[in-house]
Amino acid sequence: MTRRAVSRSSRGLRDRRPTLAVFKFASCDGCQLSILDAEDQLLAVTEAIDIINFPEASSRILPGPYDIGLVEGSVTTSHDLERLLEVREQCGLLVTIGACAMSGGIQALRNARDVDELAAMVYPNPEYFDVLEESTPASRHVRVDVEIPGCPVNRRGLVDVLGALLAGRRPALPTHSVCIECKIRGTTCVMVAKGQPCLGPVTRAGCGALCPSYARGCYGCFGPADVVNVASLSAQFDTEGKATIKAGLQSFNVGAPAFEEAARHV
Amino acid sequence: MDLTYVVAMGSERSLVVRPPKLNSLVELLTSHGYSVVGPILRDGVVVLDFIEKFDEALIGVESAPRPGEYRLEEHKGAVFGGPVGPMSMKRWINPPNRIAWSARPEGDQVHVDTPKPRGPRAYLGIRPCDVAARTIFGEVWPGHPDDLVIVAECTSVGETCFCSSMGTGPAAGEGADIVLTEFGEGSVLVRSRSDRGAVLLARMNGAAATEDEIESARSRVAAAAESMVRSIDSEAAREALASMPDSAVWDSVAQRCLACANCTMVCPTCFCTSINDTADLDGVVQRTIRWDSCFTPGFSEIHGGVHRDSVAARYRHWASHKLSTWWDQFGTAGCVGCGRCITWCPVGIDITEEANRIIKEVAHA
Repeated sequence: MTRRAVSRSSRGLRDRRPTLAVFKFASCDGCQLSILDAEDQLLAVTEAIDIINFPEASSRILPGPYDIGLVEGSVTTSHDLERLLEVREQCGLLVTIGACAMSGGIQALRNARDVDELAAMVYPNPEYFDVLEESTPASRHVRVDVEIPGCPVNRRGLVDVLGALLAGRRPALPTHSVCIECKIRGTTCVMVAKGQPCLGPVTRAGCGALCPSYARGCYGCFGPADVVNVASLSAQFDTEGKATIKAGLQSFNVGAPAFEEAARHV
Repeated sequence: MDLTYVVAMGSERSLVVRPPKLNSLVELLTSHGYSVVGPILRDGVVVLDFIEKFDEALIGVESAPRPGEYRLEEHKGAVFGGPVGPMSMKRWINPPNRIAWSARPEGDQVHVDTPKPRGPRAYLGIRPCDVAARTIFGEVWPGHPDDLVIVAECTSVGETCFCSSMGTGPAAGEGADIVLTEFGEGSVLVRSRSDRGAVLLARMNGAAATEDEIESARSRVAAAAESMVRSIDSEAAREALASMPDSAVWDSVAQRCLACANCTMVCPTCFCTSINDTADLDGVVQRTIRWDSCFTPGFSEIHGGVHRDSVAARYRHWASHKLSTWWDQFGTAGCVGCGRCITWCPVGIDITEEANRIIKEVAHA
């Protein structure tokens, strides 16, 4: 789907100042905050793009259609689903931001459980609770032009995608392992040098190898890399280490098929 | 002490210094206009970085590399950190993510910026395998012609080392200006190997080396060569790896290989890069050259698809290039036996073991 977006936007959106809207689904708002967190580039963003619907940032909310729609969060209710279909209609380019919108988020942990049972555990009156069986990514329901991974997204990655859409070039979103980012940074490998469990070799880059640069293992918040060999990775660890690997697979990207499948065999 | 204390040994000059005086070597290099890159201890690992003085934390410790594992161990008499850590000179010759040029709009014009050329560098305490790697790497990414190389011969080896069989160590070969050898308990024999090296050595303080000291250093290097546990028959590998594209060995490696690219990142001769163009919201465009790897599907994506579409095919390509097709391309092996790909592979895949399996298969065929 990314490929189609590139051809759609190959002329770029430069002929006029494009409009942008931000839509929230089931999520924590952290990815939206990453937009506001891009302090150094925020002025350039607002000069290049007219942000006309971003309730977290401004009470000025203008109706669609929009050139670019950013979707945060997963689809967890039938209301979410209806709204997502409307959002797709309103947006020229639809870009998902973060693990929830890309793979269902941490709330997809419930996908393998009985929802009614879980609701009864959490809510005093579960009969008022209306939710879909599964927490699902936007791409399950609508065409998505670009998916930005991460929990939360990397703000440089986010600004790069906006720049790419404006310029009509391909976004620079790597799909290789975090290991390449560690080696480029010159960060010491925590797995080889400290024996720490690390999901870096099976996790998609884009964070700049943040956790290993603070001497802790990667926990997979950017989701699966283009090659995932968890069986070989987890064989390096004892029971405790394997549990850490499994916990990483079953967190923010538990709904990503490659992680979901791999976690069953650890 | 000055020039008068230096004894001439044929074309070589040699003297002996104690570690603290290595600072004077760093200062000397700096005063001659070199920026100095040398070993330091960081996060429990011996790495290379720019140094202004010799890192005394290195004295008495050294790298203990094993397949998929790196630890630091105490080692009396060690000065330069023992067997190689993860970084080699390639990081400084062709930095991992560097700007080739950038351009920005200026009215009707486009202003293009290119990085300033750097000055000469001195690489200090580099191991012989890495000096050999610099020559091989230089076929693709040449360094600065005025760079100076000060090699530290190996007097102890790591479990993953196999430089002897690749003919690159543990004694210093071609390509160095000054040769250092650790001997005794924290002494260093210093010898010049080039005119530039001799000029610098003439300005160093130290005692003239005795015949016994030179012999002691030589025998320690020879003992290190004897203690190496891994090897590849380079000649046999060249023939065998190219002739076994369908070997089951490749599939068995693929079972374990993570395709994470660590081996290629730490390899001192792996030269592949990708070129990335970005444009920011202000209209500034930038071209960066970044290390890339034949282990990523994206790297072998061409029009029509990925032409090495399995991990087995990618490992086969990499190992065969290092040990076999590199000869056809450049007239040497692409492997110097530093062992980094074995050490820094998170699952400890061993190129010597896999190459030897292939060689054996051919022999029994």
